Amino acid sequence: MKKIYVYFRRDYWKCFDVDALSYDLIDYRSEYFCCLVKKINRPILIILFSIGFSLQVSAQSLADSNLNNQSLYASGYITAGARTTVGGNVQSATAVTLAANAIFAGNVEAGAATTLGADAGVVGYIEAGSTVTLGVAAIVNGFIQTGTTATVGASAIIDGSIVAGTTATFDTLVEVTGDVLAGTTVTVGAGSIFHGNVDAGTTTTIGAGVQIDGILTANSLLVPPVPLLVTNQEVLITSMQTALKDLGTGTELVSITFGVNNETLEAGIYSTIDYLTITGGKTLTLDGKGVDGTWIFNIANYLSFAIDAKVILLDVTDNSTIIWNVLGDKPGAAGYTQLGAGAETTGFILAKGFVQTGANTVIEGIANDCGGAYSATNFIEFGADSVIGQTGCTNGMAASITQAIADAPPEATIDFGDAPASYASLLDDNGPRHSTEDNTIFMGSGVDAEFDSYQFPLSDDVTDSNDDEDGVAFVTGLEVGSSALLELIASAPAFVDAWIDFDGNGVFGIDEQIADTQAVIQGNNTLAYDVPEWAEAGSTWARFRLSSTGGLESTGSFSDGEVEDHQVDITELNVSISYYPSASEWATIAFEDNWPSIGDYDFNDLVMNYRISEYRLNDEVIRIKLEGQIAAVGALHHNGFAFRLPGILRSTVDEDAIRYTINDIPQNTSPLELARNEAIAIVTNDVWDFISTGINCNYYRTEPGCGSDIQMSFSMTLPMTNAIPSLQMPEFPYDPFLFASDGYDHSLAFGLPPGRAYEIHLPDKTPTEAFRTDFFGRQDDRSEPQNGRYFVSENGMPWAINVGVEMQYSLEYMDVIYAYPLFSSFIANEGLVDADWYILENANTNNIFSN
Amino acid sequence: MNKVYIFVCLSVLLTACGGGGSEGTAPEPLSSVVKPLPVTVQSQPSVTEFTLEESNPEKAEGIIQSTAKTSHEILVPDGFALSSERLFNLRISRSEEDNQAAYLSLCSDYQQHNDGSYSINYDSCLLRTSLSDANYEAVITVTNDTAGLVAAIWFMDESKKPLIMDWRF
Repeated sequence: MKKIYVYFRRDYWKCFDVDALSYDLIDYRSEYFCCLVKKINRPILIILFSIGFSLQVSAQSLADSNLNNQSLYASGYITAGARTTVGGNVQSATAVTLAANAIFAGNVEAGAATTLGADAGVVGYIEAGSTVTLGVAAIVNGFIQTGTTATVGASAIIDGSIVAGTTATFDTLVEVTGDVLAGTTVTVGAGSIFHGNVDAGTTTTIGAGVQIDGILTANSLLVPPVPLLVTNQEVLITSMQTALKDLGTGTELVSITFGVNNETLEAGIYSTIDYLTITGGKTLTLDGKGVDGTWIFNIANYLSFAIDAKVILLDVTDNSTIIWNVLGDKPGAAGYTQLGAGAETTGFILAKGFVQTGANTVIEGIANDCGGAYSATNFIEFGADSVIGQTGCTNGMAASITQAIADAPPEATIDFGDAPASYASLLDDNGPRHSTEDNTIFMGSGVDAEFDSYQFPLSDDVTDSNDDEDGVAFVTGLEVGSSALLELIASAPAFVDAWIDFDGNGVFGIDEQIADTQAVIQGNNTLAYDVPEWAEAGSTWARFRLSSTGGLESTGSFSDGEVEDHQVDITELNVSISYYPSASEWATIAFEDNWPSIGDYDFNDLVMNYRISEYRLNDEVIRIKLEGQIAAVGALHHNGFAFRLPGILRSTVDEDAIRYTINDIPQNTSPLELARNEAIAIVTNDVWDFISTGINCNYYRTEPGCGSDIQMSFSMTLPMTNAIPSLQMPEFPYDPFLFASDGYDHSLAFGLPPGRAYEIHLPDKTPTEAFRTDFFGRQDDRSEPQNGRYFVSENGMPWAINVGVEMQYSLEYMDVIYAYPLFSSFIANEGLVDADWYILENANTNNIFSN
Repeated sequence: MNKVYIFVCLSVLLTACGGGGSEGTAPEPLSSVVKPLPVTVQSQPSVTEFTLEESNPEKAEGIIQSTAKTSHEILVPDGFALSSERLFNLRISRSEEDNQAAYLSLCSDYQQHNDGSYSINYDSCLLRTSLSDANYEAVITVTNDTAGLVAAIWFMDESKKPLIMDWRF
């Protein structure tokens, strides 16, 4: 046998044995060195390779896989634009190409060719299944191993050995620190320097002035080993993606709205049923709250960071992890990831499809980690001047994802109701609950799971953005002593048990069951039931439980099905209800509180959401219900808020029967203002009694980064002692107004604190009897009481605006015209054009507050 | 805002339509071809009729381009109070066949499917009332953002299918 010596790079400095080789076959790719193995015959080598391979396959856990220690992997090619830098190791099942001046700080492994442009560099080694081509003045600090040819441009420097399957060709002035072995020929250009041996399987051609410090050998007996194939990692990446998806959907991010504005997310699992995009120039802040956390984004379609979109880390610890899991499992989805020019993100991108960036993009890891991108089926392309992992970073993807999967909390598998505590909704109270595992029985479009009940006023719909209380519709009203109908949508033939708390005592009694093991079919079911004579008018709760067997109590667990709790309104017989703006939506009144001076027109000094329900019997109003919440306070003034019922006497209201709650807590004092002739319902004398600003925030929910949950909501039912004929009832929205809190300065126009005598109403609404009319005409106010003009400036501009939706108001100091550009057109055309100027679709989303 | 006046009547099967007319926006095509019957003189129509009409309709006569760059530059026309709602008159005249105990919901969030059926969000209603008389009238306050309304009449005799009518603004 002619060639009994082989050249093997993995144990250059030490004798190798089985154990060492096994270890190295798994871990060698983290090393930069190669070695010339002393004489060993091929059969032994084959056996050892087999051992190593089997170990590798059996240890398919991520940490032991070839993906370990990679910052980039693609089943297709990988290219880096000019001057782009990659901090960690790079692996492609096909080709790797570095444009001019691109630098890879780790190793490069390619299933086929590797090409470096002029002045490009690889700090680690290069292993290529076919060719390696270095441009002029390229630099490789480690070894080079090729399946076929090695072609080195002029003035290139290789600070290691070179093993070429066939030819090794060097242009002029090349410098090689280690040995050179070529299967066939070695050709060296003039002036090149070789500090080691040069072995050629056949011939050598040496140019003029070449320096070879070692031995030059033609017809060498050394055999260039075949480079290890780069294993296609599609299966492994896909399994990782599936494992991450299996951690759960977490919080669903709505594709069409998420990322349109600046966003902030705390650690957790997030998902989309379609794409996830961060709009150009917008930011996604990941708020770690100073503790170790993991963000996992399970994305069904594609991931896109538009031009200059940026991911910002806030209080994220070094041990945190960010994973963009671009599944592409939505039908027809490619599962790609794109970063527009200037976009920056952090973490690991696992993509089914390609990963592609524009120029000047950044993908980096947390702390010293490289971060990275991994394409299961396609290519990775980076534009020029991009940065993937900072210099000196480490490749931590395998460990991070393994840890993230291990640490992920278990997914909830139980559906709970969300009625208030008295109805026994919590797990501790043996609340009604249904397993969602392998469950096909539910009401409406689906059922989701929680770890416990999110009781009213919370709801798991609010918590996870998924409304699964969607299977029951009360298609007729609930009137005392009358029959009623409801529609129930069932996913499958099943049985329903249902209750309504008719007497409003906070529990579901035996005599309050309206359905007992009632069979329903798949699809729509109309169910009839009776509202008893003894039912109490007012707001109450209903509970529906759908299951495969029926016969359930209003509490307790069951192995399938769903529970839905619904808030319902019982009225007296033949009572009609009119709503403003509707039964469940909010209207918004927004104030400028500098009256009588003109302010900045951001209309967020006080923003109240509210709705009105009006109950009529025989064309007379027998009661009203006012509900609302403080949406924003963008001023330091202390203000109160109230509703006046124009033309309705205070004595008309049955004060003793008023029900008033703040944050669902009954209030002991009457909201009816004392010593007034008209009915004035005070929601609060000072909004600051119920709200507080965020840290480093001046105001409540008006500044960027100063979002919070709603801190004050109210519900007020005002029954009438004497029913009010409809014709005497003021039109919606009555007269909601702002007034000054007693004891606080409000404007230099008044000297002393004006207190209750100061009011701001919608334009042309008259003030209440508590108002001091001599305030009119001060500063910028141009009210003309004699002409019915109130609370307007010389230009006719108001200090309060009212719209029919939960308005996304202006950011602090942002003129409403910049938030809603159609505002001026609406006014100029007297409301006949752009009448819906205030809806979100007409907003400049850069200039509205986003919670 | 365009005046919306739609006169449409239908029964469960949309078998006939009794009289009426429309100004402004035409109703969306119904799934069945319906031919108007001659206007009849009777106190109770042969089929249930729905009418939704704006109380004081106005239409822009040309669009005025605002030049205001800030709210400080806005000039509000005299008498305009920036109201964001309009009043509509709802009238329902039920046919003899439909004149039985029923319940009306007028809601804003709904969807009509290709097969003509409706999905209605009853939490979006502006009006909920039982119906006893053959004729019903109400004044409805509708905010400017409302894209359409749907009226659903459910009969307490659950074997009788509901009547549903919608208006797109």
